[in-house]
Amino acid sequence: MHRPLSSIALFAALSLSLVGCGGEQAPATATPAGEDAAAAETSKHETRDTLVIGYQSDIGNLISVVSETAADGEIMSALSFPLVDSEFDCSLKKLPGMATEWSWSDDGKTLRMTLRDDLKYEDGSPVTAEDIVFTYDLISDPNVASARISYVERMEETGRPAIIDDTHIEWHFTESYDRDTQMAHASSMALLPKKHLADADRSTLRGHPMSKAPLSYGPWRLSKWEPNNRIVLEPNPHFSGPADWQPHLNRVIFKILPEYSTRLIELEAGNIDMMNAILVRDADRLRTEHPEINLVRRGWRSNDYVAWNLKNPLFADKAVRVALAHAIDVDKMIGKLLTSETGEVYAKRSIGTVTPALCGVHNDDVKPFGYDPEKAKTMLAEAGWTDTDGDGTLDKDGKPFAFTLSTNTGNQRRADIQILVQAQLQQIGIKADLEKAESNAFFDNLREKKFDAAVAGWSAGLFVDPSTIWHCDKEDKSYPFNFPSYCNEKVDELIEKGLHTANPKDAAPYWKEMQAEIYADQPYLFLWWMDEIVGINERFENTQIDVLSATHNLHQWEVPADKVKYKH
Amino acid sequence: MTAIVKKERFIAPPVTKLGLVFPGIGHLAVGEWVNGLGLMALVGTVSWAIIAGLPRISDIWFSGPGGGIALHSVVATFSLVAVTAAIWRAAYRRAFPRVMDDEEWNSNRQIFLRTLTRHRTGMMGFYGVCVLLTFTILAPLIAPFDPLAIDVGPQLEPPGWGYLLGTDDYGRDVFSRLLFGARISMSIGFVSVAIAATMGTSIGATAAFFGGSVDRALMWFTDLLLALPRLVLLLAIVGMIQLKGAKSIFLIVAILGFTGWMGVARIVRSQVLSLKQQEFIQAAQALGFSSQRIVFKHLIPNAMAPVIVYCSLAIGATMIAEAGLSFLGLGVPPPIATWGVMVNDGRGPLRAAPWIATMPGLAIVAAVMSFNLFGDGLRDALDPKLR
Amino acid sequence: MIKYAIRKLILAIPLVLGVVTLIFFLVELSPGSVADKYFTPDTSPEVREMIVAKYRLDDPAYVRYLFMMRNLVFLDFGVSMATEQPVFDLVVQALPNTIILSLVTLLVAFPTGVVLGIIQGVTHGSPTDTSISVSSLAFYSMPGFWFALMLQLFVSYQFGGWLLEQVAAGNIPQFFEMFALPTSGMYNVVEYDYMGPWDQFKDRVSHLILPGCAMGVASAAGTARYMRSSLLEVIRQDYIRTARAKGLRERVVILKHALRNALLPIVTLVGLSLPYLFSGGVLTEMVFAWPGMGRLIITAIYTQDTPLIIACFFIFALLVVIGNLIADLSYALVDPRVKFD
Repeated sequence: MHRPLSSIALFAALSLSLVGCGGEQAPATATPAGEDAAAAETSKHETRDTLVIGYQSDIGNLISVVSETAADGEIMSALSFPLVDSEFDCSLKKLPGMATEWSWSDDGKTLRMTLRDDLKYEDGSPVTAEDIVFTYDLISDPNVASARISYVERMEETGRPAIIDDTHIEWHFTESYDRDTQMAHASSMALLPKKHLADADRSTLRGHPMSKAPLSYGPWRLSKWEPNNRIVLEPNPHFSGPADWQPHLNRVIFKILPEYSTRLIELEAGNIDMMNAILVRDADRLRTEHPEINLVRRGWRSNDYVAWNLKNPLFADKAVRVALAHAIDVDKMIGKLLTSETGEVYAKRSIGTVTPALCGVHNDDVKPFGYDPEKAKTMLAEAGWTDTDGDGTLDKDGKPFAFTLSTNTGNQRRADIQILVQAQLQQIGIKADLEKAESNAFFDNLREKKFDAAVAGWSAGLFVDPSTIWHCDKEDKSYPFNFPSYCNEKVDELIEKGLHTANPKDAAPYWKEMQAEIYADQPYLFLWWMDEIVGINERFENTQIDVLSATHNLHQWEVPADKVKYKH
Repeated sequence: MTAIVKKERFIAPPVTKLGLVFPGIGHLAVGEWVNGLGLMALVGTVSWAIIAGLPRISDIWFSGPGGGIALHSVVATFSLVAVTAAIWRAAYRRAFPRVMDDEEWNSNRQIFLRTLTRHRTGMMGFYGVCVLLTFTILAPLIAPFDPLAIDVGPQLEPPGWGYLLGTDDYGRDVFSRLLFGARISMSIGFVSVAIAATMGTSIGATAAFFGGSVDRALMWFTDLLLALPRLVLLLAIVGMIQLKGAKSIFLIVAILGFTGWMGVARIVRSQVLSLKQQEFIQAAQALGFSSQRIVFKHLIPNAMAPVIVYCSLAIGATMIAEAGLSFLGLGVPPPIATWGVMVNDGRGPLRAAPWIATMPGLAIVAAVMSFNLFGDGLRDALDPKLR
Repeated sequence: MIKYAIRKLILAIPLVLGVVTLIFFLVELSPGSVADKYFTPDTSPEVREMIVAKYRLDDPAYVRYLFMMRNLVFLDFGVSMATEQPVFDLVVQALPNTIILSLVTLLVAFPTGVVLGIIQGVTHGSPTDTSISVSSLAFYSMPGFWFALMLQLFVSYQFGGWLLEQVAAGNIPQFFEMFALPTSGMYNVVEYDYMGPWDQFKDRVSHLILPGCAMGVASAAGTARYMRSSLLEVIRQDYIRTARAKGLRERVVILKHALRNALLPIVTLVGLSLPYLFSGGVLTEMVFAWPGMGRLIITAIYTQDTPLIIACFFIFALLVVIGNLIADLSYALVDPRVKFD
């Protein structure tokens, strides 16, 4: 879990889901071939109406192994048919996709899959086991520099996967560990057609024409992509998957609207049908003024935290970090930022990086610290921080308690957090300067530990793998996402134990203990898990907007005949 | 027209003495409504500061960090006295005008002042700028709340009696923020224009004075920078520096200054070129004065009039440029709020609370417009052709 | 005439080169190592080597500078760091949209400004003059992006929504529907593909109005200011006095004699105002989701995509040079005293 695909995805201004991170959908592909507009009419199903989704930023690249943003993943999942489909209910449930059935060997190192052989790309060529091998070959090639390289880290070179025959493949893992993770690594990629890409220059794959014109083998195909303007999907006339995957809508249009206020106005005016990440302050008003817009919550999908850099002498002392946790009134911040005027709360205090959505794994026994500024002051005084010179700022050995609190640009909520944290710390005599950096630069700073404290967030992974975030960062930088440079041998041990437990249910005790251990150490100031509010026009039915993704069953969405808005 | 007629026209009718009681009324009584309303607006501002500020003067003075003296509040209090004195002096001057002899009456200074004070829109701008500056200086007395304090009121409260211009999403008072933001916005405008004027004057004067290849090279560079859209140039420079982490208000001011000097350079150059032909400069050269002395003592002072006009117009343009940068998130870092930053903050809640973005925007328009009107007036007054 | 144009173009080359040189130094002097500015941390080692070789990042600055110049001459902008797409393609997709918006704005704003200026000049000193002066100055003093936001919120959403409501309720004729202007984008993303050419045209125009206003009012106001003072200056000339003395009607005096000469300096303004238009366009494109160069350059700056930044500046400089050329040529065209030599 928490497998960050890229800086852009992680720190994207709005908490879009990370596809590929939760073992969601599969593949996408690309063709340099032109369009086939007439073919759309040959679609077997009756389709009607158009769905218009407002998107904050354009997609970048539709070649799955090198694509980066959450938006890329959302489009690719529409253009592909998953190897293993998923559904979420406390934990990820696996459903047949391209793999109709699968089985594990007794030692937990081999996963055998049976594949459908009737899937075809939109140019008519078949989707084969060769393509799976090819896709994973690309991931493991350092020249490709794929962000998913961790997927193959624990796979045998000859088994990513091994082809048994046309319809059977076997994945070989180097060791037995958590099966959800193994399955996700094996099934989360959109497949790439070997036939078209075998000769491509691997080091410049991002710039390959197919990144703009993918070859679909899913229910939808890419009809138009006008940069910074719109992306148009239409039903894939050559889709050969199960009949219940045939789309019911004429078209799906993603309109790129960089301004939040513009997206909101367009939603209210009815020019777009759906938008993600509606702010809490607008939710009440939308509910009363626009009964035609349904507001759906995607529960506990992402979190916010303040990471302390433990290499900074200010934060090296655990007692200081615990004191800081007492000095900040998180409940009040939730009340201010994530509670609507009618009192609806869209967040839950977090005690770690395991989402409460993973019920049974999330440790409900750990209670977050209460707000107690007096206690915080006492603790800080015990740690040597007092205001000796009367300038209003605590000091120790002549140095004031002052640091820079940074975050990324383009995220209003994180800017809000910055300001509220700054104001509360000021009350106990700690001076925080605020700084905002552009997302990529900010993320680089975090990875290189060039920060004092930072407001950031993770999207929830839907299976547990805390190693990238909490495992002791060795000199070789194998865990670059351990921003605070946190190191606790006991936590490392628990992570190893948990990951090497084949049945995820048996691993739960380890994970719970790990959460308690980390919370006590306070490497982050843990803030909250929050719901994402998605607004969607009520004429759409069968929508399944949940923690997994907002559009993962897009093919099932439909509009009753009497509510159709667009003829086309 | 004879000089006597002019002097008689300048003698005030008795009714202007009303202004001694309430500045402005005297002007209104003789039909000078721009001056009258302008003075009355200033009096209003000052009274506001007195009514709002004096009852809690000790709180305001000792609102510094850790309960210390807040210097800006003390400055504000003394400015209050100064501004009041200035207002009454203006009213007194209207009621008891000085009688001038012909020489003084026809001096450049008096002609300039007369033309300017008769320029109606120019004076509107002048009073606009004055009122704005007064508000800015007296902000600590007038502002009902601490501009940085969160939770002084409910979140997103619409404008009303308690919160004149409403509150923002942290429950901060928009009106107080606007007042304190004016200080930053205006300072940025003034300081960067000062930088730009200094640079432009030296470059323009150098180019014109030395002529030849120095002139060509400097002017080529000037034209080059003029060719690029300023915002794009600003974006590139600020972006490249700031996104790497360096961020401060001084950086913004400096960069705004360094991208704004080209107009000044051109004006100064053409002025100096024509001055160079005049006898007094040639005389100075003949006397063997150093280049430095000629440039700084003779050329530049005589070339300043159009520069002043240009600068008064440039302040507005600079404020708009700063707002544009802020809009892209490249402005001054929080919690300092310039008007541009405030508009930017208001974009998110534009539908929920339109006033957060609207009010600072209107303030920008009012300020920039005042500067532009005043600049126009200055230009007309300084331009001998139009007198 | 063609010779004149060519000569002007050749004279403009140093300007473009100068702009590119400037931006080269900006990149060179900004914090961080030069090599890092041409790839992201995720760039694969092989690509890294390739880019280093291609842009000679190991070489001294002057060598890199010469290579950049050579590449620009062949319109080889390199590959975007963020997307690894050829920068040329990105620019080609965005540029026409910006040109459409700027040109249409210019073509509407300019005559409007001229007409307002004439009205002011003729009614010099009257309340009409003052009120136009003050109101156009108000528009001139407005931050364009703020005006854009206000247009979106109050004109498009609130006024437009009210209109549509009234039309739906039958209170006002359907005709008024066309005054409900769209909030964003270049065209209706859903219906546009299925419209006839006439409807497509109408749709495009309706999408142009608000962004055009946001960008154009300032230049219309500016033009009006210039036009007014230019006309006033001309009216003061002796030949106008002569024309009046001959007993010509005021209308004829203004339109036939004064206007022609007053317009001369204004014509140059058209070309010269291009950079200002683009400047305003950057922010307007953001607000109205217009897929043009402004969006491209902002993305480039945010992602520190050096090749894209350089290309955008190069294009801007080219456009400015073309603007200047148009200004020169049009001036020569309308003023018989200027000869093409």
